[in-house]
Amino acid sequence: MLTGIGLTAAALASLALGAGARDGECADERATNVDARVVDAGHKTRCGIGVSIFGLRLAVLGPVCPDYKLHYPAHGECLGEPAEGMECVPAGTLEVRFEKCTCAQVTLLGTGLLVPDCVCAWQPGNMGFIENFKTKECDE
Amino acid sequence: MKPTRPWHGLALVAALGLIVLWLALAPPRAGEARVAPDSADAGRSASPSAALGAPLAANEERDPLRARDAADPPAEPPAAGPRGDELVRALAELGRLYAARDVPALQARLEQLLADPETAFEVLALLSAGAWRDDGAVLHGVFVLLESALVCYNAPGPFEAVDGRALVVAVLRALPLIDEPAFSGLIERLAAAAVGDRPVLDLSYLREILDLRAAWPERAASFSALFENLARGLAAGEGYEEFYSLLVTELSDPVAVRVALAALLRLEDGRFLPLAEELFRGAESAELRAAIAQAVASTAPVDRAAEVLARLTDGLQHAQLLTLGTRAGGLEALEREYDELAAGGDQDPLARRMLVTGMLGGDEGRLLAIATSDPNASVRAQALLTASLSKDASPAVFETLRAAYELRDDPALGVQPELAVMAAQNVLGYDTGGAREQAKGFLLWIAADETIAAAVRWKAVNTLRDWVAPEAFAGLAIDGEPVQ
Repeated sequence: MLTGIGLTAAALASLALGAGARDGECADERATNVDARVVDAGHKTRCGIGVSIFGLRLAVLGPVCPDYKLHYPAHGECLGEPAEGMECVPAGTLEVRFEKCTCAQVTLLGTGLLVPDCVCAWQPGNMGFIENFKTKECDE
Repeated sequence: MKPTRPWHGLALVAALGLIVLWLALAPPRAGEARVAPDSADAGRSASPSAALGAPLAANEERDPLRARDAADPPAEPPAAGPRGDELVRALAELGRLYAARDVPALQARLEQLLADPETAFEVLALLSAGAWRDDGAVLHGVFVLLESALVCYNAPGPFEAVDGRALVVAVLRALPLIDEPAFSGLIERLAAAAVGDRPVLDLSYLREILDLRAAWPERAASFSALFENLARGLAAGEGYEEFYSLLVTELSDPVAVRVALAALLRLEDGRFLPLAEELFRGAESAELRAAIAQAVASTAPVDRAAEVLARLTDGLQHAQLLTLGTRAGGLEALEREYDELAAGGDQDPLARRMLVTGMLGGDEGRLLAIATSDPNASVRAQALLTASLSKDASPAVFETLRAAYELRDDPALGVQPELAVMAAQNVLGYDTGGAREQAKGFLLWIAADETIAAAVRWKAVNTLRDWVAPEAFAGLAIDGEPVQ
């Protein structure tokens, strides 16, 4: 008898829990939009010139320059954001492109002066790739 | 993709909060006193720096925008520096000398101007009032003069009687009053100014920086750049309490987290690496995860850094692994970690792929071995991408790419067409020999192959547009649409 009660209770519980379930598994999750961003990579150096005043060595006077700037495109990620009836699915790959930065003399607009600055230039090709995800209805 | 687990972060914050409480209740050191936040913060919420328990200097009643009188004034007062239009001309001259890289003349003029410490304060006051914001030559002169003053007045030497700290505080307090482009330029130079390898803006200014960010929340992100060099020049473990507290109180600020964590991770025993891992897993933004990974990549012992980054990666740490690869011993650490993971089969392909992204500049033969032997297609593709990012790449790189593409249906040896197009794009951009022409033909072949997905064929076409004449696409159509 106790076994019967237990089985009945289990059946009722599974019915209650499964009231919102669909055929197959549905994660009830959407893809989260992540903004594009730029990230410095490699070493950082200072552009500019070194001076010595009053016997003190001032390392370099000028802006800071990383080796590279990596550009991550806007994309979707599966971060557990709830969305009933939806799932987060792969949507191909996206390129991680990059700039290479160096110290160079740059003309100050309106002055004709050349000053040390960090100049970054787009490089051909890709550093790598990231996976992109999108939201899809579970029943599709 | 691994979902975030906020409860990890909450539990960690709770634990670390006990440390903050302990620090806040710690008695002041002898000879110092706790002072309430100054009038600039009146009406705002309690200063976050209070959580640090760091005592404020006792003599805060001074006018922050003027030089301090020394306890023992010099025997002869310095000659007054230029003012008004003469000062503007002097600053413009500094800017021109800097641009011309006339070091001897620049040094001589700087020594003349810095002989009167009031000059730096005068420049700062005028800058705060909006002067010269559109004059590039004068602004560069301002940057050169102020950074030189910050160093000279905070270093041992002829200006030891000058209160250099007063100038630093004056600059910090003037920053909110300064517009672009002077604002960003001054922040960068204030953070970078150094006496030898010790920054002028060192850990002793942490409270001022935190108060500044709290008082001007709309510019907090810009002020975070002031944290950048706080740990520079410190011995491993020095400033431990301050950085730990900074980490706890500023867990939502990626720059603060990166700087504080990087300082703590310098300890050779890697004792803070588990903390870094927990912070990463509990982080609720991509920026925060990037900052934590960057701290690990830049200062943790290289072998441990490679291991931890491989374990944590969610596929977005190219920059951090590249940073690790540029450190002394970093490339070798990435290779060792890759070998260790590869020995275990195909259990963690994402980790192996990301380790390979950091091997830029590594041995080509090694990368091509990964491209032909790793059990995962994405890892093999990444090895081809990394190997092809070199002007010195040998013909073997393209040959390996082509062979892998021809085996694209073999999961053990091939690469996906989409990723093969990316690698061919790298060959186009970097190769200066025959491989470039071969890559053009390769991409045209893919573009014309009707068995390949239209999106990949279009990608091949778009990659080629800058490299071939339009006639190369004559007669080509993708899903019925002519390529033009």
